[in-house]
Amino acid sequence: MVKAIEVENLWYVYPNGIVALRNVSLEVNVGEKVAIIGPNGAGKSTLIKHFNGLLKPSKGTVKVFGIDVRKATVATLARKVGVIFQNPYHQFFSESVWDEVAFALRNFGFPEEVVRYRVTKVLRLFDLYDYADRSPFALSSGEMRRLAIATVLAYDPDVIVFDEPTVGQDRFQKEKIREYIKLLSLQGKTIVLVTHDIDFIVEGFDKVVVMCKGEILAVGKPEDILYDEELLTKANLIMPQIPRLIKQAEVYNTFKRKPLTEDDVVQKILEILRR
Amino acid sequence: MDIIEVDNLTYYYPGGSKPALANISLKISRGDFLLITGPSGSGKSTLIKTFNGIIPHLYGGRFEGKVTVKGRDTRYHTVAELSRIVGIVFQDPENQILTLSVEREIAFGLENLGLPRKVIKERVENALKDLSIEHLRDRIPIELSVGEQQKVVVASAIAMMPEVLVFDEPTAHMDPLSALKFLNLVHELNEKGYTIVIVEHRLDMVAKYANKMIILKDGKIIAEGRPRDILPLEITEESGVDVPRYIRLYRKISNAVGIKKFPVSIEEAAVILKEVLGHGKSY
Amino acid sequence: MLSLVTSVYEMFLFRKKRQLLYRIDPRIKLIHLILVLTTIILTTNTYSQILILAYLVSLTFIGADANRVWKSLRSMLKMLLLFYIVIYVVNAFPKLLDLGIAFQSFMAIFRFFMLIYCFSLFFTTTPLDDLAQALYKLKIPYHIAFTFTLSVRFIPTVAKDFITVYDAQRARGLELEKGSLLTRVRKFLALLIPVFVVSFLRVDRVAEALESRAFGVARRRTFLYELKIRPLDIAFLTLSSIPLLLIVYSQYYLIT
Repeated sequence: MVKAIEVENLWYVYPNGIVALRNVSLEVNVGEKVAIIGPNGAGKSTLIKHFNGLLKPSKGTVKVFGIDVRKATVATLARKVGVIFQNPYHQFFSESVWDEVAFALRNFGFPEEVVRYRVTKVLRLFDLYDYADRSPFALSSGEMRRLAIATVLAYDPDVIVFDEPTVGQDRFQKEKIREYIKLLSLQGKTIVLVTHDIDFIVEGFDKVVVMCKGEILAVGKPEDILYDEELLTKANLIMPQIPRLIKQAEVYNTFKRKPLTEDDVVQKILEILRR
Repeated sequence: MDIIEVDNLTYYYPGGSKPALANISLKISRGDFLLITGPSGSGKSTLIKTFNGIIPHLYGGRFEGKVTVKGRDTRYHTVAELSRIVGIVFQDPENQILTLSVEREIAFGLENLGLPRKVIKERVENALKDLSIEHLRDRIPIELSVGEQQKVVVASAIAMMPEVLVFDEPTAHMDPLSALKFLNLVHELNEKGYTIVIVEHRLDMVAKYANKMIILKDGKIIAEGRPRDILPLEITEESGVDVPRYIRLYRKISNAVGIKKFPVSIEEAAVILKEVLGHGKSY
Repeated sequence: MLSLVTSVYEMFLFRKKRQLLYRIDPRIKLIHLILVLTTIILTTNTYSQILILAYLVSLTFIGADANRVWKSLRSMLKMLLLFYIVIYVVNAFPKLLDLGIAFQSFMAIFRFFMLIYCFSLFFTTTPLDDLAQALYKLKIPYHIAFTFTLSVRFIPTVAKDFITVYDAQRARGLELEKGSLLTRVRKFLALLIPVFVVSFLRVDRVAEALESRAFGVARRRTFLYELKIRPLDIAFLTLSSIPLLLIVYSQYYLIT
């Protein structure tokens, strides 16, 4: 079975000599939901830029669905790997919301009838159809974010990468992002999410990758990684709120399965009370 | 003594049909640590900018009501004057750093005020020391990490020797460990005597330092009081505020287990949890 | 092209050093710069040019961080080579090979190179903030002098924005290399517009920061590092004018 993304002994050195990635190896299976966490400057963004060919390896290989990124153009890879960037203002330039969504589709050479069909579909899905003729800059910040995601989903890539989606977002907005991720996963998409927001990844992910100073320190299941205080400290991170609470209260052994959300703890408490 | 008083403030940005702030009344006492939170677009940044006169002086618009800073009505005093009482640290250090050297950055505001050279030198030294960034003195600010940059911005604000320090989502671009350290620094500044007003989403990290808290939504204050009292409320949860998980936890079991005093920090929450799980009885 | 922007920017970045030129008042250096430029303009024969270059190189070794200066100059070499080829071709056309013109074009580029060299020496040894102060003391309003400093300060920020936009649009399938000249120009809009928008959004934030730091308030602005003309500055100006005067003199009176 071909893997969605295969990174083998990847090294990346910037033109000015700074080593951003050291011997990074990683596998992402089709349909997996992977979170890549680490502090600012860990190399997370540098790593994901290899997935759509924006950066080419200095040493080592990166394969996307079996294709070596060194041998493919960004346009070819971008078709399969859609990246949703942090700041929508870094991509909007069209006169209308419609054109903004159609941009990628037209770049990829879709015939105009298909463009029309897909743009309509995705605008309706994101509740933006009524704004089709408006300027993207006339939208509210929440609508702009939806539009940014819509522009990527319009061309239906197999892998969706989110680059720090929660920065500057309030709780409702973060929940919306979580919903979109769930929706995309149900459709069979492979999800890669890069963040330093340690509380955002406590649920909804199969695999957590911890990066620091250009290296992968560990790969594992959320409940294992997020309770490994030594590992997290080495990576300049902190434990999410609930694990921090459990550790502080020294009640770790009460739980069979390590709790990551407040609901996990509530369940346990109710269990104990019933006895 | 109230160092900042907001009296029935309603504000419209120029050309705005909806008020950004509606009938806001607020009193901030000397030495307070006021936490302001609320969903996006609720007017938090707008409110902050009325504290040093940027609103109304820089933006214009329709300004009804009154904001008084140390007795001065902000409508009749310049931003320069008010900046010597209220120092503001905005969100993105990249947009607040104006020079090419940390030392000169800190001196910038003082140079603009035309203060004597000796005074400037002294204040720059003190600011560098207070924030433990003496080693960054000759560095170029934009080459520093986000956490270091924010420290430079804070140092620049402190050099103006204000009595109030206002922070607008200062940790927005920081990773959790840097944010934790920064918020601890803000707490230390409060202990040194600065009145602190901070807009923050990371309530789990900062609520324990605050003695007062307000929640803004659609330009109005929908809750006001001590964090301990405000955080567990239904209205807080519904407003979209990032309520700490331990608060949510105890709210959910408050029916089954009587919680008399809601925790305001992880340490307090841990104590309660130990009891509840250990004895399983009403706490 | 990005490396060129980076190297120009690097040239403006001041890092404290001990050598002579770093300690000279910017106003004196400005006068010195004008003197050197005048010398270059007034002298046309080859020997003078070599002498001027020797002067600049000696000055670099005595008074500046030679490595930094070489680095910033080295990055311009490619661009200079390009200019040389263009000038040569334009002047030699329709002939393919003309040694006389080849030499003349070389001299033209050489003089241009020395121009850049002088400016490079000036900027690598002078903090921009000091330059703003120097201009202010020469009666130019501070907010005008400061505009230059602020612009340079934001070069890396805008460059970063540009790269981010470039990456974002390429990730949406934008291919700048393909298409006719017209379509490529239109594609370039996809890069320019977001950079402009982001920069304009920044303006409000920077204005707030400037206001909050009392910008433009005092009638007489003071400075952390006050510029003073000292005996050292006068000595430098006097001593450095001598070789320059001699070079001009040699051009007109000795070598016929």
